[in-house]
Amino acid sequence: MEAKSPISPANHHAVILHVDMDAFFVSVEELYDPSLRGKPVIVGGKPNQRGVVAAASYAARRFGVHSAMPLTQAARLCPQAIFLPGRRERYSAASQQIEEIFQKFSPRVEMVSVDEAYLNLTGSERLFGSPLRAAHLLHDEVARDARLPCSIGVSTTRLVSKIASDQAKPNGVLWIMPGTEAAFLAPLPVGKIPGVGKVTEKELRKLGVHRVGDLARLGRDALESKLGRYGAALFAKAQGNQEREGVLAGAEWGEEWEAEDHDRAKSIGHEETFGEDLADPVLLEATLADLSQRVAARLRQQGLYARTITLKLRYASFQTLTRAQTLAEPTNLDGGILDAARRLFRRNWNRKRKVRLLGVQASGLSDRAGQANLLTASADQKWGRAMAAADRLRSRYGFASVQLATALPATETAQQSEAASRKPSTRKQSTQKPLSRNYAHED
Amino acid sequence: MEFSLQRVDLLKELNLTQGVVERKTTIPILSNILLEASGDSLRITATDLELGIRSSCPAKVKKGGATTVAAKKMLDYVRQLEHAEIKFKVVDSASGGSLQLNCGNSHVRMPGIAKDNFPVLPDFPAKLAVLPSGMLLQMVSRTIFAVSSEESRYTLNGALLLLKPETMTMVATDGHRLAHVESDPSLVKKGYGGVSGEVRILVPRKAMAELVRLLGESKENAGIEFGKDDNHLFFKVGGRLLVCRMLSGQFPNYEAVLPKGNDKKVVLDRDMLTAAVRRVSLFSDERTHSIRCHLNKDELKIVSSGSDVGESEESLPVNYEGGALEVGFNWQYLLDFLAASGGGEISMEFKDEQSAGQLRPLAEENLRYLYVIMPMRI
Repeated sequence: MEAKSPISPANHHAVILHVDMDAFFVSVEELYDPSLRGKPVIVGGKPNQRGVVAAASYAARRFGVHSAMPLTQAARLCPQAIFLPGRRERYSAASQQIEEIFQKFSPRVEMVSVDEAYLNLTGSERLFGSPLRAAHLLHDEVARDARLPCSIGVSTTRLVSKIASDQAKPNGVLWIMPGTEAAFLAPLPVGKIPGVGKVTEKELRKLGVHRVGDLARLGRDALESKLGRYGAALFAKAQGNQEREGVLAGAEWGEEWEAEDHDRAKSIGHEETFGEDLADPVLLEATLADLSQRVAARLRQQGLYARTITLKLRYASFQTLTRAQTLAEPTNLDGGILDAARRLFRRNWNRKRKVRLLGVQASGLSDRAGQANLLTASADQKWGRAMAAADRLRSRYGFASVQLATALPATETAQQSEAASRKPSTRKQSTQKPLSRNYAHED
Repeated sequence: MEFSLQRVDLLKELNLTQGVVERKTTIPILSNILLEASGDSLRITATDLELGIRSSCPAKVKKGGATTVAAKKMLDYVRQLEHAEIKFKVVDSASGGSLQLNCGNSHVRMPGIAKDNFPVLPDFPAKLAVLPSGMLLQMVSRTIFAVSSEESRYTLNGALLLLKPETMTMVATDGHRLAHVESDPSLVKKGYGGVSGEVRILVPRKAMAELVRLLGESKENAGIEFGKDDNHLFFKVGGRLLVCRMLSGQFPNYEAVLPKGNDKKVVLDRDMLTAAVRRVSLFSDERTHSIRCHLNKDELKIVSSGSDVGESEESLPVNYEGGALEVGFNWQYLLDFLAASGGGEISMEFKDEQSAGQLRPLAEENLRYLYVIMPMRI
């Protein structure tokens, strides 16, 4: 994907809020059991269970517990913590409630996950006053109506707002006034920039870059020559600018998100760690179908086609296989990705062994559809239209509203095990960036 | 077993059997060839279980018998021998024994594996048709490159051979391009015949490759006897027999996807077009192999640009009055066709940037060659 303008000046009229709920799952649990307040609480499962921490209260975080950490490790760090299973229905109800509050402030709300959203309040000064005042009004309303704490970052860009909300935690509001973005970012560790993971951080450290300000000092050209286009983008980010920022004002909401976090993605993947190890081929293949359709939906969302499909298979023994297949033609259709994933699975799974984790990843990404297929051209077209319709339904009624039939056993079991509060599966999605920048979050 | 024969005769047959000798050593005897001496000839058989070749060469047989020996070693050795005549002798042939080979001052001993362990090739069944050697060779060599090598598309791993009373047709496709050759009805005069009704079979790619080798050794007008049983196809090429496992399954309904209404048409000289595509290809994206054809009034422009290597453009004069068109293709697919078609003029026919293009050599005799190529969306 090409950037329409390399670096464009921040739009000084834009007002972008990033709202991030504080220890969301824990805060929701506290609504149901106020006695938990102030105590170290870990949501995700029992201490002796596999799986990872979905959320940790601030009291637990003081012991070094953080989300995505294995539960067993969390239990070692903080043995006195109260461990709770994840209760998805509680969190989605709360998530819906806060989304409704957000909607009152702006029609342009993008829920990035259950507990995080961007609001575009550009041009709403008459309604709410200054951006800072608007943020405080929102903060108060969430505290009052949903009885949940959140942190809000305000600036002219999504990038800066996201970093600001992180700096405002817990339970704070931080406004970065237009023109002060670079100064705000400069003293922060470079890892605070979304998308800069451990690997990139290491690379940057070799260049003498520790803080965001160091990027600015190094200069755009030096960064570009060392890191290519990614370096240039990083330099822009350090200034508080984003590629394609200039199109924001007139463009559809959502486009910028794509540019910010998915531009130049190298791979897109989903994986699932089962609550209990599985050897049932129907359930395993249903999981593959579910993972494949999620990967496909994200490819389409970003206008990408994948050339290579990789299967990740982890046995109960932790032995892990990754097997890849390069497709004859790039695809972003559920069926094409599932076919490849299933073929790899059938060829490589030892049916006698129980499986702990399955993952499907798409790579070799391009924004061009590439080689067309003579024999499947008309079927591909039909599927493309069907999938576009599915995507529209999913954006209105949720991902589960349209499913591949083969995926149904997986989604049904997931719901049943949640309803019974049995060991739920853990899901992860990832977008692999150049230099192996990697982030993952619970969905 | 004891016999002698001419080195050149043996070398020729050994060379022709190499293609079907198993290179992997999972089943050791498949790396061997079966030698059977009787009457006045030596029969040589090789198989990898997918394919089998049986041929023979004249020999002076003192004492009949059979054994199997390492095929590759035998070929490499016979290739380097210097005298015209080679003498063979097998000691204790029942258990495979050991093969002694003497040629002038060169002597060698090789261990054998008993014949009983060697797979038995099925016998040639009733003859189904006689195919003219020259036409079969032309058909195979014009389609083989379009056969899919993707294992998952099993029925595309071979070409469709369609025999009718007056014509024979061969079609291969990997989904990206399709090669279609149909003979002229005048073929009957050239010895084609024996087919009543319609015969549809899938010939595996590996068998096609072996056919090219065998047909290359046979006379232009020789009649190839063709037969099949429930599981195998048989081609009798002169004194040599090629047996292959049949590909089962349904070849796609290719007729439904042949282009219709490709009215944007230009005619170019094959050699000129080939040279232009070759030059442009050097600057195309290395991963996708894509080049673009721009069709404008009286000009076909072929361009490429790889991200780092630079860009290239060729402008070819053509007679063209129709609407402008820009369409992308994989240059390798274009060159495959151009290399397989005879010289002279090539007609390129397009519809739009989404639809398949169609290429035809205009100068082919005795056959109609059609190549369909899907565009790249770039």
